[in-house]
Amino acid sequence: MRDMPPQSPEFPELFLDGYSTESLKVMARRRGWRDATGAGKMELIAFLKDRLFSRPANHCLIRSLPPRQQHLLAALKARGGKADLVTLSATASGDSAEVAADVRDLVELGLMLYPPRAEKGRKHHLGQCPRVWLDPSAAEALATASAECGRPKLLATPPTQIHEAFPGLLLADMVLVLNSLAGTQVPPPTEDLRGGRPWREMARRLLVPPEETGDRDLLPPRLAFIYALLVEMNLVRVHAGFLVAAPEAGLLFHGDRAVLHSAAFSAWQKTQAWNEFQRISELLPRPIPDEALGLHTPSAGKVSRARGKVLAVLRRFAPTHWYAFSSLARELKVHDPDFLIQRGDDGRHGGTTYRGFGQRGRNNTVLPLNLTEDWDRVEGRFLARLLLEPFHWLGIVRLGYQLSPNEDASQVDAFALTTAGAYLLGLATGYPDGRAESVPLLVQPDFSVLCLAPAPDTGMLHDLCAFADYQGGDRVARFRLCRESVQRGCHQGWSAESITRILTDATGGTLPQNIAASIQEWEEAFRRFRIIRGVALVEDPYGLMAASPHAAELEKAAGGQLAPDLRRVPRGGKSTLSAALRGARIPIRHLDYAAGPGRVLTFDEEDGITCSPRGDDWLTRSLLARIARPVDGEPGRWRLDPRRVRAAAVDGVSADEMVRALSERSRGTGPEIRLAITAWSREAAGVSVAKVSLFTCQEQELREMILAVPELAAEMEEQIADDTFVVRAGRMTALRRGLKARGVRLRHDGSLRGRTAPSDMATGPAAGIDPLPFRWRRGTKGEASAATSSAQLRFLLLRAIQARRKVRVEMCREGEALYRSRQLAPLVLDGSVLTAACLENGGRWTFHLDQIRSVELLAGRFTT
Amino acid sequence: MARIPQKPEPAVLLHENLTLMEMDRPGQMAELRALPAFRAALVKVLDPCTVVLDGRHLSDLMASLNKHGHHPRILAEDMEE
Repeated sequence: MRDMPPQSPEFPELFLDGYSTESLKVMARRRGWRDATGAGKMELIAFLKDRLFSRPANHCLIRSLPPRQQHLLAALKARGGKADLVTLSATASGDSAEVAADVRDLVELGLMLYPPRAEKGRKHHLGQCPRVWLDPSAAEALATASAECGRPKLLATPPTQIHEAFPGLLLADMVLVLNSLAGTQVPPPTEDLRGGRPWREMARRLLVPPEETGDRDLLPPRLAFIYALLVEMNLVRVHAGFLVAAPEAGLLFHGDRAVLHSAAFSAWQKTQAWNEFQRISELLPRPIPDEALGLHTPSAGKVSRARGKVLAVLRRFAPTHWYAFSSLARELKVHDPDFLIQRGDDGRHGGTTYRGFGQRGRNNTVLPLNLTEDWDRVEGRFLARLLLEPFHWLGIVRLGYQLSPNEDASQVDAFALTTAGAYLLGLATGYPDGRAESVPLLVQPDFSVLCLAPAPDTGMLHDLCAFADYQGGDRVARFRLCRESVQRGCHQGWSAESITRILTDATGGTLPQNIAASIQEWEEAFRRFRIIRGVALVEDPYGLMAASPHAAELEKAAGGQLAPDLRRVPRGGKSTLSAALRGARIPIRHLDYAAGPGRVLTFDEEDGITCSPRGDDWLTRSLLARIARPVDGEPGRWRLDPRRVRAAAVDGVSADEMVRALSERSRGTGPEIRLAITAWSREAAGVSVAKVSLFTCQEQELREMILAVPELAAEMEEQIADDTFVVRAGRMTALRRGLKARGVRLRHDGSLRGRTAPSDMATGPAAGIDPLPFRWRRGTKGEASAATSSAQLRFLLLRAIQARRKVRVEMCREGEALYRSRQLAPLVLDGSVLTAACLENGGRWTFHLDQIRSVELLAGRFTT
Repeated sequence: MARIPQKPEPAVLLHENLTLMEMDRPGQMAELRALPAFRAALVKVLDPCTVVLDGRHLSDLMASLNKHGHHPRILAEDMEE
C-alpha cells in the first residue's frame, strides 16, 4: 500500500457513486489486488484510476473481453457514450439474462458506469430503466479497438445462387405503366393501394406474376411500387377523378438514363405512398390496452427517414463485393439500432415489448415481441424487405443465396452493391452505360413488334407505346401494331411518316413493306376530313367568262371546276386571274370572308331585314338564312323566323352570336330584333324561371338501380350533374312515394335519407314493375310517351357508357324504314347524338337518338 | 313601304379567304350533319364532298369532331401539300 497515490482534488464524484465497495473489491480481486478492504476507499479508487483504468490497460482489457461484451461497448460508444439498458440490450444478440450479466460484468470492470445518484434517482422515480455511461478512459481505449475492426468484412465465399439486378427493367416498367394510363380512365388506387378492375387488367397486361397476396383488389407490390414512384415524380396526376400522365414524362424518358434512375431513386427515398414496414408479412397489428403510451408502429414519415439511415450505413460497404446480410444488420445494430423504431426512456417509448404490432402466430394470433431481444425480428426483417424489394428493383444490389431461396422469399443471405447502386449512393461518379442494352427491334410482317433488349431504351419504349399496343412479355417485350393503336398515335401528334421512320431506325432499316403501307393507310383513314383555310373560289353566275372570247384562258386561270359556275383558284393564282379578267373587260366583285362586308343590312321597325347587293356573299346569306326566311317576290328582303332562330339555338348558336353577326353587317341591330332573337333562343334552350325539384343520389350503384326502374326514371326531367336530376314538374311526391315503396326515403331537399339494402329494390312492396330494367323499347310500354322513351334510352345509354357495357341497339338509318339490330360499344352521348363502335362489323357510327328504337344492356363489357 | 334594293351589276364574284372542308366520300356529310357544331358552322354545300365553313366556328367544330373520334387535318391554302 506504500505506492498508493494521494487523494486527487479533481477526483470526480461520479466514481464515488458509480462504484460500490463490492464492485471495487471485485475489480481489485480480478486485478490481483488482495488487500482492498484494508485500504481507504479514496486511495484505492485513485490508484485504480491511475494504474488500472489507464488507456493501455483498458485497451488490453477490452481486447480480452468476450465478443458480446466488446459489441456492447461499441454500441454504447456509437450512441454517444450514454444509453439506457433496454436500447443497449436490443443491439446484442442472445438471451436477455446473459446480456444483463455481460452489462453487469462491464460495470464491475469499470468500463461502464451507472450515472450519478441524482440522475439515477430521477430515472428510478419515473419507473424507467436505468442508464449506463461509458467510462471516458474506456472510450479512448475503445477508439483504437474499433479502428482495428474497420470496414465490414467481405463474404468469404460467394453465394451459390445470385439474383441479378436489372435497373433498366424498373425504368421500362415505369414507361409501360405510365402509358397504360394514357387514353384510358383509370381511377387512382386507395391509400392502402387497393385498385379496381383497371389495375388488375394492367397488372395482367404487364405480366406482373400473381404474387403472394390473396386479395385480388390489392395492387401487386411491384406495380404499387411503380405507382408510388410515378406519383412522387409528378408523372401522373388526378384529373376529374382519373389518372392522367403528365406530358413532360416524354422528356424525362428520352433524357439521360442516369438522370431518370436518380429521379426514381430520389422519389423512392421520399415517397410515403409505399411503406416497407407494412410489407412485413410476419408482423400483424396488435391492439394495446393503454394507447396513451404510444405505439411503436413507425409512420410513413419515419419509414422514409429510416431509408436514409440505412443508405448512410450502406455507404460503408464496398461496391461489387459480396457481404453477408448479417453484416449489414450488425452495422445498423451497432451504429443506429433505433433507425426505425425509437426505444428509450422518454416515457412514451418505454416498456419491454413492441406496442402496436406483434409476431404472427398460429391461426393469425399475435404474439408480443420483446424490445431488447427481438430486434432481428422487427428491424432485421425491415432491412431484409428493403433489400428484397426496393433495393433490388431499383438495381442497387444483387442478391445472393447460399441455398435456394425459401418459399416466402423473405430472407436473403448476401448482397453486393451494383455499379449503378454505387453511382446512386455517391460512391462512384460514372453511371454504367445503358446503350449497351439497346438491341434492335424486330418488326414482323404479322404486325408484331418484339423488343429483344432485357431493359430497353426508355425513350424508344415510350415512343412505341404511343402507337403500338403492349402485349406483355417477360424478357422480350411484345407489341402489336393495329389500326386503333396507330390512330391513337395520330391523335397524339404522330404521323405515318414519323412512325415509319422510328420503326425503320429501330429495326436497322428492315421494315416489311406491308407494315409501312398499312400505317400509311391507317393514317389516311384517320384523317379523312381535311379543312383548308384561305381558299379562293371564283363564281360566274352570269356566264360572263364562258361568253368571253378569252374563255379558254380565263378557265385555265380560274382553276379546277367544283360546281357548274364555280372554280377553285389555284394557289397563288388570284393575281393572274384578276389580270386575265381585267384583260377580258369582265367586272370583278371581291368578297373577303376574313373581313366580312360592313353596313349591308338595314332593319325595319318590326322584323324585316333588307340586304344590299354588296352583302350577297355566302356567309351573310347563311347568317340570314339561319334566323330569317326570304320574302317572296322581294329579292334581298328577309323576315325573322322564330322557328329558324330556335333551330339555330338548338345547334349551339347563341343569341349573342346571332345578334353580333347582324351588328357587324349593319349600323346596329334594332332593339326589337335583338329582343326577339334573345327571347326565341331562350325559349329554345328551355330557360325559364321556375321552381324545380332536385333529386340527388351520391351512391352510384343505388342511382343506377333507381334509374333502371322505368317508373322512377320517368319522373326525372333532366340530369344536371353526375348525381343530381331535375324532377318533372309536380312529380316529386310521386317520386317520393315510388322510392318509399322500395325502401328508399328522401329528405326535403331531395337527397337520400336512408334506405334498405340495394337488393331489396327488386322485392319491395311495389316490385314487379319491370322484370327487365336493362331494356327499353319505344312504343311497347303502354302509356310511355315519346319523350319518356327518349329519356329512358338516354339513361340506359349513359349507364352503358359509364359502366362500359355492351348494348344491343335496334336502329334505322336516315331515310330507311328497316330497323337493324347491332351490338355496339357506346362511346359518347352528346345531347341526342350517339357515337358508338360497332362490335359486329367494325367501324364507328353516329346516330341521332330518334333513329334508335330499342336499347338493351348486355352483360359483356368493352374496353377502349 | 320598305325600300327594294337594286339588282346587282353582272360581275364575276371572287370569294376570298374561305374555309373549306373536304371529305373523302359523299356519305360522310350526313354523318356530320348530325353534329350541332357542324350545322352551326356550315355556310354552303359546294358539292357532296366539299362544304364552306364559317371560320369563327372552327374551334367548336374541331372540339366536337375530336369528341366523336374524327381528327381532320387543318391546312392553310398557302401551306397545302
